[in-house]
Amino acid sequence: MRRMIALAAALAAAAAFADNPTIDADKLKQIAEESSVMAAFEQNMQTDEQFQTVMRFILPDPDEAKWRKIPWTPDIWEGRIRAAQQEKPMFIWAMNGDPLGCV
Amino acid sequence: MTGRASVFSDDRVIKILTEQFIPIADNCSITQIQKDAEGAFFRKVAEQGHYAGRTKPTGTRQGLYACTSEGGLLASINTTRVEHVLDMLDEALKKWHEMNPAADVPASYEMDRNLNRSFPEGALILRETMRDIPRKDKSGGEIQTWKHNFDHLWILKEEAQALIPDNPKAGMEYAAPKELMRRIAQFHLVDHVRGEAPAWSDRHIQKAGLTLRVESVDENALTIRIDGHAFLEAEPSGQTNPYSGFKIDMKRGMDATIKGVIRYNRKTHAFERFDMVAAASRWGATKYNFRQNDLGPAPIGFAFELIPSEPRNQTPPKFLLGYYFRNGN
Repeated sequence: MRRMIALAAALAAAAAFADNPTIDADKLKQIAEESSVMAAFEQNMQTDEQFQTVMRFILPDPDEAKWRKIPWTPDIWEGRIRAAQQEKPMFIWAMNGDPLGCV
Repeated sequence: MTGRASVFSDDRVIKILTEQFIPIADNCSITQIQKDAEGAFFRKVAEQGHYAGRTKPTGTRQGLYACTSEGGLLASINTTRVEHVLDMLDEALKKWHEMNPAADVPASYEMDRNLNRSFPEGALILRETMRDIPRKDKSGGEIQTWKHNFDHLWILKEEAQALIPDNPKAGMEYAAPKELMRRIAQFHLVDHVRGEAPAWSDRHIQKAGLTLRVESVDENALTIRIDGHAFLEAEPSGQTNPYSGFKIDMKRGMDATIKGVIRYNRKTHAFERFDMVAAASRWGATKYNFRQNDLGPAPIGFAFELIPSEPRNQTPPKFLLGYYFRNGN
């Protein structure tokens, strides 16, 4: 199964390259990854490797998760307490929906 | 969510907020109507800011506010442009340094019971990420797999305990609590990838089940595999998006295969890993989830990962106030 997925990804990348010889390495890598995800998805994640492939694809990559580097608190009152204790101003990111969750 | 990428992923903003402010993220649609001290505090701040007094076209108080712990406004803005946010932070810090910052530490307060979103003691938190899965688009258009959204699944302490058998043996199979599976299907297999959508109703759940199988066990650890399936479908809502004019005159549905793995430490009685993926086919649209040009059926994925149950991770599930827990928690 692993070999089949790898082969499918390689074939997809090769086909993309044949269509557009100027395509860069990053794009080829992306095509291979997406092909692996599609194959794993279509086969209902039968193996642990397929499960991991789909999971990794869905989770945010480091760039997408960069905003989490900020030490947010999801509680205004807790933020008030910390601001008073640490003698710092508060910064409130207010949304209709949870900015750290579904919005 | 544009602000996450455009503003809060900027290194300058990250540095300033981390070092010079107490950064708070808040769902103001709830806070601004809370009948308690926290609600009053937020309203006090917001009513000095960019939407003060506004009731039309909506009464929203969304935006970015810098303030003192006493509720004095330093600066505010509602934008996703990073340079404007940097200017706003600069203005706030200038005002802050001109003031005497000493303030009393606020006392605790009694929460508005109708809007209480407190974290249940001992519960697990699984952070959910949802995203479109790559596909071969018949129209030749690009599939936007970079769009994604989040939510949080709360699993009560007693539900988590029910996932761990008393006398586990390899190969043993058993069902997950029905109430937990109902919650996952009804509130977490919802397509918010491009915009928010309503939860499913009980009547929309045509099938929902999770089977657990002990894969391996020894005196220290237990590994459990999760297999499940959910099928949900709703009739057309008949609603119309006020901006696009798009009418919801088709069914919407979700057909999901669920896989996962749990690793449990038998010595410390702690969940060390809880990964789960729902690989689904979705169809239809809702009033605000921007699927009018992508009605499917199309693949979508939901990934769940265990995160520490610390206060900083206790952002409530989106539908917590909508019968999320049926037992009164």
